[in-house]
Amino acid sequence: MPVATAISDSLLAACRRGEEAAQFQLYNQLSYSLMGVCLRYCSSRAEAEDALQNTFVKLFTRLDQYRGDGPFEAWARRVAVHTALHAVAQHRLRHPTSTGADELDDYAADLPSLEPSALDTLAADDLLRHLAALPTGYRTVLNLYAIEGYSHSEIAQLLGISEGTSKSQLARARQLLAQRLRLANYKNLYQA
Amino acid sequence: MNAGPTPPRPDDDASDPLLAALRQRLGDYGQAPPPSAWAAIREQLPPPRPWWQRTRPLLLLLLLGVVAVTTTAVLRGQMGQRGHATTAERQLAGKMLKHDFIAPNPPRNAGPKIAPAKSGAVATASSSTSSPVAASPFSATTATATTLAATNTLAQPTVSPNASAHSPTGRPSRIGKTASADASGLPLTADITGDRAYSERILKQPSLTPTSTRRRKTSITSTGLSAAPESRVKKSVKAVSPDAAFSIEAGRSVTARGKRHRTRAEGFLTPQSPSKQHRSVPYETALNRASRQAKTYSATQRASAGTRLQPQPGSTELAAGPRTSVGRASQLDSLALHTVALELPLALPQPALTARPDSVQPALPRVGRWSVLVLAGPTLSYRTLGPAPTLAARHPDFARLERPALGLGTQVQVRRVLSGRWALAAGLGYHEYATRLALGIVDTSGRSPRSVRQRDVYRVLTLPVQVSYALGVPRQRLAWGLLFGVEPSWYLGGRSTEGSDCGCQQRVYPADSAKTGPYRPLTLALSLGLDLRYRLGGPASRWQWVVQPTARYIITPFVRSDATGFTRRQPFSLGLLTGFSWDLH
Repeated sequence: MPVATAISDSLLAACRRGEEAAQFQLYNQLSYSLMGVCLRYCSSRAEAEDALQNTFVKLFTRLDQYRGDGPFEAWARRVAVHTALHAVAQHRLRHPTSTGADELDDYAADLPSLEPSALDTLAADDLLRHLAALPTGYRTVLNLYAIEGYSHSEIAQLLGISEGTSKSQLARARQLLAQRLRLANYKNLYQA
Repeated sequence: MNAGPTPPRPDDDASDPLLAALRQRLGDYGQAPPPSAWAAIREQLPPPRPWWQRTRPLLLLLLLGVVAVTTTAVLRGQMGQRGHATTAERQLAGKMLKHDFIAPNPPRNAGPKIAPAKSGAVATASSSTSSPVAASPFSATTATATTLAATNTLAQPTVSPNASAHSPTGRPSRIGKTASADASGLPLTADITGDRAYSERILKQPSLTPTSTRRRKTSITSTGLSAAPESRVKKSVKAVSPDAAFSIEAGRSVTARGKRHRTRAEGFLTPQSPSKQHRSVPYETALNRASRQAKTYSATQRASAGTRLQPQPGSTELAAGPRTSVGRASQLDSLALHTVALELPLALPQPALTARPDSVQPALPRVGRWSVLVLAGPTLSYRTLGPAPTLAARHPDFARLERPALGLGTQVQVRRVLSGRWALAAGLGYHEYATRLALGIVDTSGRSPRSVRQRDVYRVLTLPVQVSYALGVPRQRLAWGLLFGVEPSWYLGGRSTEGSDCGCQQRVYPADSAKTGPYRPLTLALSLGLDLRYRLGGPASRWQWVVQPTARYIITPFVRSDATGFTRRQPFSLGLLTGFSWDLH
């Protein structure tokens, strides 16, 4: 994991001039975290890699739109979120099959409730795998709300849905993820 | 896209342990991208633009500045030159008529001609020109200047400017056109605030009252200034018409209404906060003037006030001729209905105060306060001329025929960055002010004309002291700023065509004769220019490439006042000095 360092203005200026060395340096500083962002939204790694490439192309070609209102990392992260959402939307257009939005695991409802400490024992990659297994709409709202910190009104405006839809999808996503985590925790305990 | 989510959210479920755990575990989650990702990104990126495309606005600005300064200087020089040259030609023409040395006018574009040598040598300066001065035979198609040589025995050369040389009377005919600048001002509308909703909100403010501290509008009625009702304020801006002037004038003369409204007007002007007073000063002045005049009117003056009313253009009511006093009173009353309101400048909307998230201060490159500059480059120099001198040799003042010439400028400076964007530089320099003169020497013996090209040069040693002000984003790799300074200059020597017997031969005026020579040993020049810097080799590099397009003008007399036969001249130059700067840490 690369050490997070602040993006200097001189580096951004060099990137605006199109200097390849500076662009590569910026890529090295941001690619790790932005890849994680894309992985959280996209359903597959290949799709996330495409979204990451598009994210950096946008960053380098639209660098003049960064007005310096906040940290550049936050701006780049928002670009990655938007690009990943666009990639997800394109993927849904190409593959309009249902991802099992209503596939609640009925048998998991009978399992004991999930302890918060159970998440600590779960590796981040496994947690991400459970997140990726959620239906696309659920995953998107859960990511935007729980991790990115968007409000329901902002999510509604961003995704073109109503606030009620955002809230209901968040509730269902939370319920579905908790059930699957309970199931995974139960399986781990059973195997142990 | 710069505006992100704004925590805290009203609907945030902070107590949900699952969401909190997700945020904690996956908030900073990341993975290394595949090695081939960068290559794929590079393929999709456009190639970097060359430097001249990135700095196109700056280069365009620089070019415009140089062209503007050059055009102004050349036009100014030629305008001053034209008047003196015409006077000299007329005087010379009179002398020639007296001595029967009338040379036949050559046809247009005929080139140098050999003047008839009836009595000794004749030195003639002629050139094709398109001067508008058609009354003189020397300027209609050919500007000919003839002078007698000092002796009649030797065949003196006839000196005429080359056909390629410009005429002293030739000047651009577009001088008048350049003065036609667009004087139209910007209309003051509500859009100037940039916030239409805010402007409409301002327009909907309650009418002005003596205690109102949010007054935006002041209306001028026919009886003076008063607060306007809201309904009338709406049409205030467009209601300003020629009637407005008359209404104000009438307001000074109205009797009881004026007094009543004056009291109201004074009332609402007094309780003003200091911050509001400056915006209403012009209106207060107009109001006080109206009030003072209304006070000084006596009863008889008030009664005859209507007779002093002068019809104004656009006022159809009063343009019909004399009326009775009753009729005038009714007119004045009707004027009260013509409410003319002037709109005070709309206040700009309050700046939106937004909280910015804390960010890590980017690491800026170190700034070396001291630096050494070495600059050199070409200069294009010219001069402005004073009145034509009295020439003992009776030849034309060929200084009018001089043209700009290239010179050289070098500087070695020590520069110190002062506080902020200011910097001071001082050093030692060498500068050449040069002009060129192209003459065609026509021998009276009938041989073909001989072309002579001369370059007069004046070399000075300078002590430039320049102050620079950095513009743009500071401490970037590319920096630019303004330069202005003074340059005491010591005359080192030079050579000039002036001072020779025929006015066509160069003489050297070295520095050792500066005290007795025609040129002042010490002069003072002003400089103004741009300071463009590009840091070489990264932000931490000490080297900077410096380009300084600079204009210089000698403001003190360059020629001694007691130097006879020398035209008063003020050299100036446009230089493009380039070099390197090395930071001393």
